[in-house]
Amino acid sequence: MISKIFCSLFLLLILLLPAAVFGQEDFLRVTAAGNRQLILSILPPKPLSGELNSKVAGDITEIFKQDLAMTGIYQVIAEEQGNAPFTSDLLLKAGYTVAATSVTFEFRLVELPSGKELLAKRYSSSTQDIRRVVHTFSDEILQTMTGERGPFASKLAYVSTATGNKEIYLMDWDGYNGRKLTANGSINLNPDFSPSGKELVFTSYKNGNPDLYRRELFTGTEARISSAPGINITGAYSPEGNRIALAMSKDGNSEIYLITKEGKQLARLTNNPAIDLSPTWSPDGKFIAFVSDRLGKPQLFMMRFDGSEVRRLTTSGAYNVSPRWSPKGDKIVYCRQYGSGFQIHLINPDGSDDKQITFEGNNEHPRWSVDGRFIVFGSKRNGSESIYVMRADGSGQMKTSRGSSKDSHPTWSPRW
Amino acid sequence: MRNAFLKSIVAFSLPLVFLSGCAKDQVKPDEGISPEKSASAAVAKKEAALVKPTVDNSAAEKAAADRAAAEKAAADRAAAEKAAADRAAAEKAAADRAAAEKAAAVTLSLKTVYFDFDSYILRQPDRDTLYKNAEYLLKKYKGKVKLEGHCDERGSDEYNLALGENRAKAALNYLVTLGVPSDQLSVVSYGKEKPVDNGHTEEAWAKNRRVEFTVVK
Repeated sequence: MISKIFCSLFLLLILLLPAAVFGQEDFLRVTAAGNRQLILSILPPKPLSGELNSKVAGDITEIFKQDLAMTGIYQVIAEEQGNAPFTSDLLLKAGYTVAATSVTFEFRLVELPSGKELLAKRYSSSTQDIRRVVHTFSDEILQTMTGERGPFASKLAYVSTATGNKEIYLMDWDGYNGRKLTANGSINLNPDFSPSGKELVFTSYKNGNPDLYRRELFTGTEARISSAPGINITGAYSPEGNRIALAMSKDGNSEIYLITKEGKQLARLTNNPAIDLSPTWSPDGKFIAFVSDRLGKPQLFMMRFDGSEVRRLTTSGAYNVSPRWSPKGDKIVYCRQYGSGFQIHLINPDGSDDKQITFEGNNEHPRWSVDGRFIVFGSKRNGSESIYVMRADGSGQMKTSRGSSKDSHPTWSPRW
Repeated sequence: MRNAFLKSIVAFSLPLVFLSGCAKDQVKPDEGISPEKSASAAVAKKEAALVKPTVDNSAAEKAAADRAAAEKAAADRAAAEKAAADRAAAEKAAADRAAAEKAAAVTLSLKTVYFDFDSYILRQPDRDTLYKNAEYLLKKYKGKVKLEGHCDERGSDEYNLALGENRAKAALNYLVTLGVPSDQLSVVSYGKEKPVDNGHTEEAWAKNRRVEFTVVK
């Protein structure tokens, strides 16, 4: 299934039109004059040739609108008519040709009032990959407008109880194209993508003990890479992808260790009678933030990747867990307990600027999108447990998982 | 299984004993012996015959007798095998049932212990419970037992996996200090993955912060 998706990805032809060559020199057109949001008008998609296909046209409009509104940069308007109002700053034009099993697209981003074409691309894909193609052009728009590509064509891995057991699933960021990865009927937890996005590690009870497994997405091949007595949990790939930091309790209590991705132990990084777990790497690989209750209650700590220079990161809140370093390295997102639930906080790696960014429901397990713009998290609110996405400042919270199952433990893939 | 193995050893070694000891007269085919065993006996005998050529005749006689026995056995075999399979299945089912009942009884006798929030310290009532569990393990049940550590839903799922294990290990260590052999005990943590009460009240949480005892099959 997965390999099929990858295949169709490779089959996806991306042809740059000559018009896309210019318009790259001035990034950061994030706001219009007076700091107002740019108004982006999506014109009704038109057939390049052949029949009008209202399903395809509707999908294109809906996906662009959702992606680009999620960025928070644009006020997105799906126009009913073929012309944009003169208040628009940007115009998004889409054309399509639907054949028996394939679709060809032409997307253009036009600056107003100059009429300059900022970006134009042609794609062709199988009919099943329409969503992916539109997400890809959304990512391109962000690249062109800000210099940082978007994450909309990448995937979320998460844990769902759809079968009655906790299995690992994969879906688009907006909840479409969900598919089951594991099917072992056991408890599977904590997926974490490799930096290549081609594999992930997770903890599974499928052999009785909470062991760490590594799974190749292309092949579905699974290897048990850490099965020490006790827990083998919270595995996190190092930025270069060859090492994994994880928590094991084989030496008495939960400590953080470094292993190769094949499972060979390289080092023990913590050594004290407290619980140490949930390691997260700085993007340069030099530091690891983690959770420890060595001072009584779980708090965030920081150390060098060799276990030296340990210092406390969070100094307020009685119970702080689940840290994740931002892709840019400037922030660490984590969860703080309030009453019987959690809210998401951001803190700088030097311990400054500790700030709460969610206030509703019970929110856990925050993970960054690859560009650092968004945070995906599991939330219990309105009586259900679902996957939500928000901007990194806490705004724009949106439920993205679609089933009635309990969905949790999300993590956002790298670009692939 | 073990019985059959012993029988085949006996069958294998009997002729050797006879050959080396009181060479000639006996070696009657045993009606009860299966073809396979007879064959191996014949092989054993042949090998022995190479060493002691004097027994060639009796070896040939025995081989003939074995063949006859084999034919008779083959005639009975299908029915016998079916009966044996049925019997084995029934026995296994009965044994499984008995084992499950026994495990349930043991699990019932080993009482669950409970903890405060974010704590793996054993309180006095739980020490008393563990004392009774230790007595049971020392006097009545010598089989292997697993201690499952659990947490309530309020802690983080990751931290709770470690906390649940600390709870199970605290209980295990106390049992060991009371004299229960450590190789009789093992631990596993389920964090907050297996609550007994899905409620969101203090009462439900208190029920979920626990170490349960299960019999290892």
